[in-house]
Amino acid sequence: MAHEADRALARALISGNEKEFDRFFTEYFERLFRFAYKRLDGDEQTAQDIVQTTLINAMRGIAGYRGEASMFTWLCQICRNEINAHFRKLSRSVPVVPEDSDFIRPILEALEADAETDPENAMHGLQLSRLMQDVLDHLPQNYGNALEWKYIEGFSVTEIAQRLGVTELAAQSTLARARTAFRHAMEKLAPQLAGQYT
Amino acid sequence: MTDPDNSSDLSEARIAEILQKVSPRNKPSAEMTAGIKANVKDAWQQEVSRHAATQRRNRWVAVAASVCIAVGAGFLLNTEPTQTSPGLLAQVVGTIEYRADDQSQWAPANLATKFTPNTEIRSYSGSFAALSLANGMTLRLDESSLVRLDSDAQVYLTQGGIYAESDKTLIDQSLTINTEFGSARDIGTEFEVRVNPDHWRVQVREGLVNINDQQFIATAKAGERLVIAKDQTIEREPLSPSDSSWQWTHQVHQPFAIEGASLSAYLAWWSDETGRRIIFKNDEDQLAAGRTILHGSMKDLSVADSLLVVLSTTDFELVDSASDQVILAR
Repeated sequence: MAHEADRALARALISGNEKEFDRFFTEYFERLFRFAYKRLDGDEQTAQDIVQTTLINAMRGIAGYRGEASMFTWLCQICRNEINAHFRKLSRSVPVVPEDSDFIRPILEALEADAETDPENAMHGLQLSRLMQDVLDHLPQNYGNALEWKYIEGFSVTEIAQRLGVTELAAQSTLARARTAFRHAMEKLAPQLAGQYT
Repeated sequence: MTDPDNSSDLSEARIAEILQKVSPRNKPSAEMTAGIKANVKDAWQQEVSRHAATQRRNRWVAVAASVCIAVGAGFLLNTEPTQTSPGLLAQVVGTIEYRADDQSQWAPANLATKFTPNTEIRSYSGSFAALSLANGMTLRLDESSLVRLDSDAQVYLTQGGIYAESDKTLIDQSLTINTEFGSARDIGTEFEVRVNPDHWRVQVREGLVNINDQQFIATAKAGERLVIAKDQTIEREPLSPSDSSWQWTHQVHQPFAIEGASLSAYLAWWSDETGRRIIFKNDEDQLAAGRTILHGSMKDLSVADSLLVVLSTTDFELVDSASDQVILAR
């Protein structure tokens, strides 16, 4: 069964395991907030309300999570529904963001899986920053953070180790695995982006 | 450490080059994160309790069905008795410890800890707990109390006080609270039993409680308090459902998840918790309360204080307030 780890997390949550609740919140809250924030034109207050409603609804429905999609994809779908309802209330159409287009969304949702292609020439003419932020958000939380701290914010491995609460060796290992995951993501994105933008 | 596949076309240098063009991701403030986490946690805890209660009910139904099938088929099964949990910890404030029947050491009890029959549970000063029983009832344990959970229908109170309440959607619930002085047995009600060195006390908020002391049998009705001394002297006095002696139960009230709930649902909960009736100025206001949907959280608000805060987010206001009722209007 796919997403077995996420199903185990759901089972731990429904059994009342508080440590797992903390882990769930840490893993998904920030990423979900950014997901909503981008789709609400940077309206922080509304994003806050929608993410809170999303997570409360997710907790109320956690017993029904079956692992057909990853936990993050499942949360994003609940969040999308909330965002759509928000715009309906305002009688406004839902703004389309590139990340929700038919060709990128399945890729972002499938980042757990592997693929192979050359991404080198795929980035031209693209809203690189936003898309890369989304890629980081779709990686496991510690991978996305490690890559951001290292390459975007310029922290040293020692500082990253402190932030992750692990040894330097473990931080280096996390970074290596994060780069591998990032490569796989880019390899999946590259042919699609090349076809769309060239 | 080296990358396992640094020979790939997308080298570390290329990854660095790509990511250096990316702005740092937006981060929610610590204050916002803490606030949302608290509210989501409330909803999660409520779901855990609800799910546990449903599971227990389903188990009873399954057991009853299997017994019916076995009897109907004429089989007599000789099976080892399975040890079913009579209850679990649904709410914790402070430090709660438990000791199973076969254990000599006390262990900390956490949310959703399942107890075996005859487990002792104790609370320290400033600590409170709510137990969800297999029969659907809830027990709230006052601070500095000690109780033994014999089954989901029998408990033994050694020290302090406990408050029992039934699930109004279920029938045939009954709980007997035993003490060194005697026992109190309810049928679908809300009541408190408290023991002291020289007397014990039974007070009833809803329903009826049968009291069986060593020398007599008595009944306590809703709105009554019976104080029974060791020499069997009984003092019977009226007691308001909003009397201050019920207030400790608010320490471990079932959290009300306000986000998306109707004002009517919140007011029903508030009335149940405080014992104060809700009266609307007219029928239209009462209907409007059902249509009013609430948002936000009651985190860190006491049950009593939450009313004014919740009303302030609606068109309703408190018109009049007495010790046993409040009047609301738009």
